[in-house]
Amino acid sequence: MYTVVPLLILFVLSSVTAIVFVLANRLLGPQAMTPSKLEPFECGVEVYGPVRQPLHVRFYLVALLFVLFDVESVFFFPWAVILKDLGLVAGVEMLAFLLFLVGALAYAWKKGALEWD
Amino acid sequence: MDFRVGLVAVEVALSLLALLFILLGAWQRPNTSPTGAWAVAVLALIALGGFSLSSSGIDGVARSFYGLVVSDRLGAFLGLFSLISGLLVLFMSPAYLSREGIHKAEYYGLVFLSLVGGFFMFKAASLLTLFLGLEVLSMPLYVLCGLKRNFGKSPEAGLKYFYLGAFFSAVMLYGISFLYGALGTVNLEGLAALAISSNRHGLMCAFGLALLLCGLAFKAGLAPFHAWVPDVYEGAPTTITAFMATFVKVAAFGALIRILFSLPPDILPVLKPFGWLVAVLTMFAGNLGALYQTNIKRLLAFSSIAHAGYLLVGLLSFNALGQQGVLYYLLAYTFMNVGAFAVVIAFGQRGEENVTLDDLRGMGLRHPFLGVAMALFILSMIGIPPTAGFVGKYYLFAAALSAGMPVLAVIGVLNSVISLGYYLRVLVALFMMPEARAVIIPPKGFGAKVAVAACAVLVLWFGCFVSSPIAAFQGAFSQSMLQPGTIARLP
Repeated sequence: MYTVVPLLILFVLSSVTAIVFVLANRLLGPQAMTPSKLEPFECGVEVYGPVRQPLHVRFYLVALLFVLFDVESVFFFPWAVILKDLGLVAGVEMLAFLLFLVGALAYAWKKGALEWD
Repeated sequence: MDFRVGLVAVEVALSLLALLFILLGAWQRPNTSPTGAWAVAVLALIALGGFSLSSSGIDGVARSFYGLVVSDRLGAFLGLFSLISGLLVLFMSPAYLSREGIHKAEYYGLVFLSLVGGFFMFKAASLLTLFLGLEVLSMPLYVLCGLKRNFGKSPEAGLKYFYLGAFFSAVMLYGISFLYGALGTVNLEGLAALAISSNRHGLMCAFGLALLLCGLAFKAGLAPFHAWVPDVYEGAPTTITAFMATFVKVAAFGALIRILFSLPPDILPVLKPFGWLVAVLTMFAGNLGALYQTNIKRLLAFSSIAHAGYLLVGLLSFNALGQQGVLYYLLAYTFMNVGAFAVVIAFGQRGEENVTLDDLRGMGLRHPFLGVAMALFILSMIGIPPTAGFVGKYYLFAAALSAGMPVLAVIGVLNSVISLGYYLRVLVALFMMPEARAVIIPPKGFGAKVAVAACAVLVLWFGCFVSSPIAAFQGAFSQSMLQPGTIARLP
């Protein structure tokens, strides 16, 4: 119990300090807002448009293909680690899984999902 | 407990064919019809149906996939029903899809994939197999519902079904996780430990079981989770509506049977009142909703909700009569519903024109074959002898009576009377009204007529020759589960 009390005091003190400083700045400081003051200062790329632009539907295809290979790797890794113990059946099973994935990739390829334009 | 791939041969064949069809779809030239794919699909379903029929005579229970999949007579029968539903739907597909301009080989691949999912649902020996089957069943259906991209209601149907389906999948998985937390296993045998009174995790079990059953009730279209049914059935391509109305019901009720008959007997008194309430709500929601419909697809959608309620009555009676009745009614319901939708397709025109009751006026006299067949399906849905629907309903309500639930049986019969109100309106429109349209376009689609003829013959056949299928269905249950809780003692 005693070990927690200093931590608690530290937590309360630091919180109060932070809140007081921020509030004091807001209440006491002069507030003259100009457009250049509202821009982010040295915080990444300059703003050049609204954020809520719709993404091109192409990205959806990319995401879908990513899931395809992502799931593949998720299944493959644990399989590869214990393949020796599982034996031949596991190898055949994974080949069957791979067959469907290759089929999916062939379908996507033929449908033009891999071409950007 | 090993792999035993021979026991899942049907599923393997369906999966490989699905992959083949989907790849064929990518190489299909624009503005051509995949007739070859259709022929292969029909032949494959006939062959697999014959295989399922022959394997339905086998006694005993076998496990495959390291004990995750169970093969018994019940699974074989439900698989046979699914394949029959798929085959009838395939017969009416080419003409309809060509008319709507969406005849792609992928369609057949997605239908086959959905079938695979259904098979794993009602052959599940583990809750995870069941969930996986549900997902494999649902994903292709989301796509198939939105297949008519240029017809506004179709994408809407696909999207609605997807959002709600994803939500209820999550609910179901949440329930499974609770059951796993409480019982430490996802095997269906493990559910036998669910006795609420003796278990210290009673609340967790109850919560998990409730969520699991909610997920399945959504798929089966039981009230109060039925609100999606009319919109999705109306917007989806009519062939897919017929497929969903029959096959998905078979799969969902198959999974419900698996779960309900894995529960220990002392949990049933707790569960029954809820099931009772759901059955009554479902019957009233379906029948009262259908009274206000003018679009025949929506009308049949509400009627399918009502039929799910009747099926639940048989399931809740938990006796041999009810089990045979559920199987019989699922089969009869497949024939009459697919047949009715095939008639709707034959009368319809491009872009889902011509599917209101007003459009059907006088069509029964002008096209006597389709009209009489539709009358037969409607009479079967009402439950009038000598149709399969009558026999099924008789068994369901007789089961409720012998299980000591006379009130439920009375409510069921009362609902059949209410259903006359809208079913007879279809018949009145077909035969007793003057024709509405000046220009009559003759119904096209040879395949749809084949499906209609097959369904009509089978509805009459199963209405007249009852004893041998009933005996077979009795065998389906006596091998695996005669009473609740017995599945827990399986090898």
